[in-house]
Amino acid sequence: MPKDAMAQKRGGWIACPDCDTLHQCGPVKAPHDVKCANCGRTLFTRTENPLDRPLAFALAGLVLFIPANLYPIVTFSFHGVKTDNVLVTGVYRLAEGGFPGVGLLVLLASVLFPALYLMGMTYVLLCSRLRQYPGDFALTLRMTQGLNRWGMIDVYLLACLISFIKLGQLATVLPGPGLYCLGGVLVCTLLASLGFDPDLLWRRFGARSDKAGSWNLLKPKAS
Amino acid sequence: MSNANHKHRALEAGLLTCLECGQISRVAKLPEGSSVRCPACRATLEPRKANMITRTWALVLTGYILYIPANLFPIMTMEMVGNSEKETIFSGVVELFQSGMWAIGLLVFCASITVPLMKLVGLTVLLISVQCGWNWRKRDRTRLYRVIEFIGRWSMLDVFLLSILVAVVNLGGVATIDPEIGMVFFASVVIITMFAAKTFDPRLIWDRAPTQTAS
Ligand SMILES: [Zn+2]
Ligand SMILES: [Zn+2]
Repeated sequence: MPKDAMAQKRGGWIACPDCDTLHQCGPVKAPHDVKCANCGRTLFTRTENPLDRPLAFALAGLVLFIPANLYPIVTFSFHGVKTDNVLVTGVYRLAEGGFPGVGLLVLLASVLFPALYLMGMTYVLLCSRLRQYPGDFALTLRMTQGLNRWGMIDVYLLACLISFIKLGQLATVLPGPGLYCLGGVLVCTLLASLGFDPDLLWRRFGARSDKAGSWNLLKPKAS
Repeated sequence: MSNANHKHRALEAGLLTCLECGQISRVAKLPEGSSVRCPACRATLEPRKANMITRTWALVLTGYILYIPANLFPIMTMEMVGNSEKETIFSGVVELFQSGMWAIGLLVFCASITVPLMKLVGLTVLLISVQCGWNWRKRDRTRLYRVIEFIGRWSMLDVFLLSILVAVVNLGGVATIDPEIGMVFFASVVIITMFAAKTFDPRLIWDRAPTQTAS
């Protein structure tokens, strides 16, 4: 059995990030949610096909991301005049109207962070699958974990829905092809993140490889 | 004092946990002002998030202050065939209610008005409870923290809605929607409360337990 498969089987120690309780957890059979016995936080979710499934969905999401950004999302016609918007039109209009900060925020949350999340996920899953760990693997995995909350395509789609209802009273509003692609991106991102198991990736990378009770001793450096 | 359900906690056992990768390390002795990095992922290891109380308080208070102009100032101007109308976050909700769309109106009301305020009040309660070392309902308070952390992003709803409206309704003199200053305050509240939730360290809720029960 290869070394990383051993690490996967052996549970080892885990400290709950919300309450600091130490848990020793044995081998976990997928699919299984491991929760902190003290505070109830989900420590990790072991899924079936933890590498291939999220990789497939992340790639599909990335492909759909291109038309989602190129095609109009909402088409609006009012007294014979028609306008439509792509994802970044709003960003441009906000910046033009004197609010580049808000525009930047929209750009980050609706375009850049979701894209980086999918790209980071693809990268770390490929690395882990090939058992090749370049120097930036740990940094990319940390970034990917952190971006989970900051990509907000789901919120954006809800805003689209509300804009249909709000504008529907004034004029004819129609969904554009970009909206369907964005919906596809959302579904792919959700399915990918459901199967994504950073705990497993860290273990395969070699983190948490401590034997029970004997942790590596670190010498502090003065900063 | 019964030790029946006493559980071992990492820091009390002299262990530092990496919040990024979960690696547990034993540190010889950590003097003030020194730092160690996680041997697995190179993230900075801290026993608890540094200056967490002060930093979270600063963000929460800023959030309270910005919450007022975010709700007072208009977030957009609607110009429809000649007459222009300014809309605040609250008047947008009222308008949805008046046109009979209760479900959507309620949704926007929750996301834009209730959620940011609930987050600020929730974090205030958590901060005070940690500072006073309250010993009750630790599990529920940790759960409250997780809810605060989870729902924050949905407040971005109004920001996205505005970005769609200004992009689509852009027909010159016929119909135009322009962004207004209130949106800057509102977006700041959303982002600042999200950072405040991230800065808060829920492990402090559990930290004072042994000393409290011992006395
Ligand atoms: Zn816990
Ligand atoms: Zn680490």
